[in-house]
Amino acid sequence: MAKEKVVQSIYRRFKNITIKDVYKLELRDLQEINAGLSRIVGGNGFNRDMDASFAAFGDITFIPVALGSLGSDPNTGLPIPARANWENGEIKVAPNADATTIIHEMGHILDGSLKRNDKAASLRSETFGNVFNTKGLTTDYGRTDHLEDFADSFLAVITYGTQSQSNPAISDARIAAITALIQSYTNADYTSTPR
Amino acid sequence: MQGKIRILLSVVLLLIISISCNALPAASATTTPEHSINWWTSWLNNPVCSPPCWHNITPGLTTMDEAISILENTPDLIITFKSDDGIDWVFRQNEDEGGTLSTSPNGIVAWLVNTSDGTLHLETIIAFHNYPKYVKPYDCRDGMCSTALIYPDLGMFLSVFLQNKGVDNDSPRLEILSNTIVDRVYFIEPGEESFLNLYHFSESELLMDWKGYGHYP
Repeated sequence: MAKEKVVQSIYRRFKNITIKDVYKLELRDLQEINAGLSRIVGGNGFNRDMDASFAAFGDITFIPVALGSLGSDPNTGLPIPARANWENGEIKVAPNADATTIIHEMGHILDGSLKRNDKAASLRSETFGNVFNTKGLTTDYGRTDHLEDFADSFLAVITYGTQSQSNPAISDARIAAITALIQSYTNADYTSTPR
Repeated sequence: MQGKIRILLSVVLLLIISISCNALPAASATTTPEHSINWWTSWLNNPVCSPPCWHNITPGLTTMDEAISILENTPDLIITFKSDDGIDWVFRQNEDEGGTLSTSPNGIVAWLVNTSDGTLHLETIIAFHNYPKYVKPYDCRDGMCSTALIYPDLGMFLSVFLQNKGVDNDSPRLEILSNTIVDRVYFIEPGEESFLNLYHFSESELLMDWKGYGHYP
């Protein structure tokens, strides 16, 4: 019953979200998905502009998978908690995924959301390749490659905010690029129904 | 007899020449200044000022305008981005290293950070600035923890990336070694609260006391 309430809450607020095989998820897993999505549309992100959020990410499907089925981290040997595919909007989530994981994976979806609809388009991390180049001030995960740099910069903005002073995780250029990207949606009129 | 003396003199002469030749590079090395490709070499060996000051920029004191002027006139770095809120740069001799400076709404520098290229060991900094006072993991994910080693009195903390040997993200267990790589050096206003505020921690958040190299907790 508690699981159904969380699922209903997610579906009520996020019309672009589908969760497959809900029965495979624990209540905690659903709460982490809900928490991650809620933070993305919170004050540091899309600021409750749901239409802008839907336009930015497109349709997303969460697919529960077994622990360890996504492989293991080459450095730690631990099971990878989630994996996003921007080409179809699918995010596979293992039981060790938390809200932070969800936001990071949504960052990957955002990175490819233009290219998802137009194969000739570039990934955002490539368009802003001089910013998301793993150099300068980025997170420890962001130093892996430009894809992780973009996704973790998105996470850093959602976590610490758009003000450079309160965001010690990423460079000013990264904050500016992610903020401008979010604002390109929130400043546009994506309202599909009259208010 | 004369032949033996001649051979002996030749051996002695060869020995003297050999010792001189071996000594020359060493003497030369001590008089020729080393050209390092890392920003932290000059920071540690020939500091312009003491932490939290770096290149005459002091968080909490220096204005953004002053900082811009200093950075623009520093030949060993290239400014890569500038906004009302902050500045990013890379180091000319090693673009794998860079930094960021952020300002408060009142136009004063809030904090600044320089990154390393993965060759800066903790023991190198400890040799110059002694041991940190606190250890605080601040971002634990996927079996790793970004961890701050805090010098509250200096207004400085180091960020290191450590394997989390604990059971989960909320109960990390870390091992800090002398050769742990320091990824970032932050300069902030002195005091524990500066660090806590920067990472939005409450005062009840526990900072672990430094107790030497080894496991935490």
